[in-house]
Amino acid sequence: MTLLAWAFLVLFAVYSSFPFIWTFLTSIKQPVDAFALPPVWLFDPTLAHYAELWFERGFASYLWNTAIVTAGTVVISISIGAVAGYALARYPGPLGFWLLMLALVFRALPRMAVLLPFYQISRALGLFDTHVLLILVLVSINQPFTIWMMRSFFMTIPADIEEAAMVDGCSRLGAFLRAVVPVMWPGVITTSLFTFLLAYNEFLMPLILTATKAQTLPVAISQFGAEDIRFWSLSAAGAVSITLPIVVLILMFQGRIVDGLVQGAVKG
Amino acid sequence: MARIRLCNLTKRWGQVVGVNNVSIDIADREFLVLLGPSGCGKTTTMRMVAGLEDPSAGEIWIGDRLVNDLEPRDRDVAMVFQSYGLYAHLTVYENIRFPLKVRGVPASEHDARVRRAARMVELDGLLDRKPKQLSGGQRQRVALARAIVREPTCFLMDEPLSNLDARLRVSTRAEIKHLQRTLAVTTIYVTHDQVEAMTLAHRVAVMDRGAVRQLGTPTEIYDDPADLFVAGFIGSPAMNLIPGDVVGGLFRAEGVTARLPGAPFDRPGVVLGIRAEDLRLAPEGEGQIRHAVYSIEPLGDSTLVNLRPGGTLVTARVAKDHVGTSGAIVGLAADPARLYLFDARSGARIRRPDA
Amino acid sequence: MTFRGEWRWAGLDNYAFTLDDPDFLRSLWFTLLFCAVTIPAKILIGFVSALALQRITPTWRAVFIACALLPFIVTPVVGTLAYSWLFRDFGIITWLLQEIGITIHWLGSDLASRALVMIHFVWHGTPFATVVLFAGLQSVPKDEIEAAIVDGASFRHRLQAVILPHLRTLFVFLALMMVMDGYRVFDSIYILTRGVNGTESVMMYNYRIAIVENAVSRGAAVAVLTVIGILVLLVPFLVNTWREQRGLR
Repeated sequence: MTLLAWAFLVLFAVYSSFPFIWTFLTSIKQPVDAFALPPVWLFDPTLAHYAELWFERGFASYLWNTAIVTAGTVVISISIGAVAGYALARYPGPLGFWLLMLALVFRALPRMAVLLPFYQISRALGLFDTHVLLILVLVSINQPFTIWMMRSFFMTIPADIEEAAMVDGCSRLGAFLRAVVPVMWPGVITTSLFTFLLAYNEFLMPLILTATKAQTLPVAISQFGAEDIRFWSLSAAGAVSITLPIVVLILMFQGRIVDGLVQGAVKG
Repeated sequence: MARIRLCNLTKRWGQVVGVNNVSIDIADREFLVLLGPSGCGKTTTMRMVAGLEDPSAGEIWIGDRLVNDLEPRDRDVAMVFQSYGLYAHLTVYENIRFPLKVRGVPASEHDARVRRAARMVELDGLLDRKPKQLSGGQRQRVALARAIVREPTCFLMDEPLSNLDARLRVSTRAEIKHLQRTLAVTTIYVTHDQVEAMTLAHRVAVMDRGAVRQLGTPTEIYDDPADLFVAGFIGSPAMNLIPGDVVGGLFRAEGVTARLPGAPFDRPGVVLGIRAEDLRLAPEGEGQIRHAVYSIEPLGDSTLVNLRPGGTLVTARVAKDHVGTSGAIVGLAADPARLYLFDARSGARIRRPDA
Repeated sequence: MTFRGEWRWAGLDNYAFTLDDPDFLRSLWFTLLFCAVTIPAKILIGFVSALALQRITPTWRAVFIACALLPFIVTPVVGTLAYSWLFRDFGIITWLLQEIGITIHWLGSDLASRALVMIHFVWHGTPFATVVLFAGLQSVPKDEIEAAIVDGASFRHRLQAVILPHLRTLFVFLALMMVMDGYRVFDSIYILTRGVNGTESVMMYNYRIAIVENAVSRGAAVAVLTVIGILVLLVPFLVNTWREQRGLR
């Protein structure tokens, strides 16, 4: 039985990661090797594609855009989410319930539903194709998720320590800052992780709401994925470049990622 | 002056009444225990004294001050929580120091006071550890030390022993009693364990469903219960409660015939109470209770003999060397002066002036 | 309403048009088919992999979980591109299939394109099921399993009697999440097929109408219809959370 399990998992692991491995190989092969069939396993690796991508085609500017947008989204999202999540965790009134419901509904909405209004608003305010716009949009569509997640984390921190702090001599705010904040950082890290992933991976919004100046990595790569086979090695290099930070995150934070994914299931 | 007065304290959540018009006068340095089953309102009452809940009605006086509108931090009370409420990110030393820091006590005093508190609960060697490195009993003592270090007007303790294992509970109980008598601080202590109540308290307030059923010393509560609830709650094994009727001064139930002291009277629907230690094995043919033995439980220091007349469990505590057989008919005798009578419907104790 | 600022009341014409449009109905049909195929597949594979993960030593689990997570966490666009390159006319998968005698032009027919899109979605979404169900398996009370073993139950029986009932809520949760995701699928179809060959989902249709054909009001109507559809699907989830929030009091 255990043997079966191992066999299945090895197959499953290969099946899951194969596209990425293949892409990586493509990105370091010479084009003539990359698309040779039967596939070539021994070859001279090259970093020419990466060089071309980053230096000649200005991929770095997309990275810059993505970095700004993602960082801004995470910081604002977490700040709002932490406060809101704390309030919802500690004050279980009907108002809290309806706010959560609203959040849930918004989380379920298709991007398309809000895309058009966002587009029109951005045009009207002259914010089209700016970093600010993307940050605002991403914060607003991801906020419900952030609030849900932070609320779940606060619910795991017993009210005891806040009450102990208040009896010991803190005001309510003091109790929050001195007793809760020091122990809530695991929750903040996990939520930041997911907010980062959501913002970093976002495709549709930047696709429609930007043109040339504020385009992010996912949009850029989709344009490189054109039909023309000559560009594919380049795209492969781009794909690997984009994926690298995420692989690092998975390696560093795997436990937290799993926890975060599971949370919704256990609480919901 | 650390006298505490609860006047007509009530707590309501919508239609649900958690605490119903509770009034207790607690003397300075008194150890008062709020005793009762889950949901009886004892914890809520204490939390109102702490300021963690707002009363729906009534007043709370600590010393000469009406504290209803005061924040917890301004009431000068210290609280020990059931799950200790320790600050996980601070060391033991810092945990104990926390109240001093937060209240702006001059820094020069901190070290001496923290060490003194730690010594009182025997935490000396553990000051650099973090809570998660401590055992349950040690954490409990940190919580105690944190309460002591402030030298507050009043201690509030919320079932502090319930998360400890049985043996630790006994030793910690003795420590808490010793501490309170030494420090002489007014204390309100919440528990559902009647042994804790009996051993620790100056007075006990037995509560059920939001109301105080009886307020008295442990001896009063034990020997003179005010109603069926208190009688059945205090004492281990619990008081034997046998439903039946009184006809002509004689209590009758299946397997039970007991003459009650005083002038004969009639009263249907009563409950007879008699404690296990007040029952002894009767010589052949005598005894108010006669029935087959249901089970025998040797405890080491005594033996419990159980009968089930009419389906009601009756337990007698007899000598430890008693040997009996299940199923044999035995007679149990009791001193009529040790019999209690309660009204079956209201639960109230029936006291007879001439009895 | 158009981008040029004119505002003409079209009433419910847009909705009527949309509901009549055979393209819309076809997209709706495909979306439902899409969900019906991908969701059971994801849950099934996820469950099997979760069971397998439970069997192996904990130290190796991290490795497998990391691999398993990749399709789900990596930027979907990138994942989809990487995936699509395997299936092009000279992609490695196509070639492998040819070597064993099967020739498929993935963009050449409805069936092939639909299969492509669905296989990809399963590849992408299974890790979520794997992780959630694995966590669920960890929380099945050992007592019950051991009682079943002592009673003489085989693995299959243990599965039926103890494990599946405990995981029921999780299955429901997963199904709900997957329905919401499946209903809204867009990114992957956009990249893989651009919606041709009968792979136009409701969201792709919406995109085409609203952006490509610039019929904004009709696009908005489609969006609203989609939202209504989702709200209907959400009702059981809402009920559950209502109960939970109530329990806090």
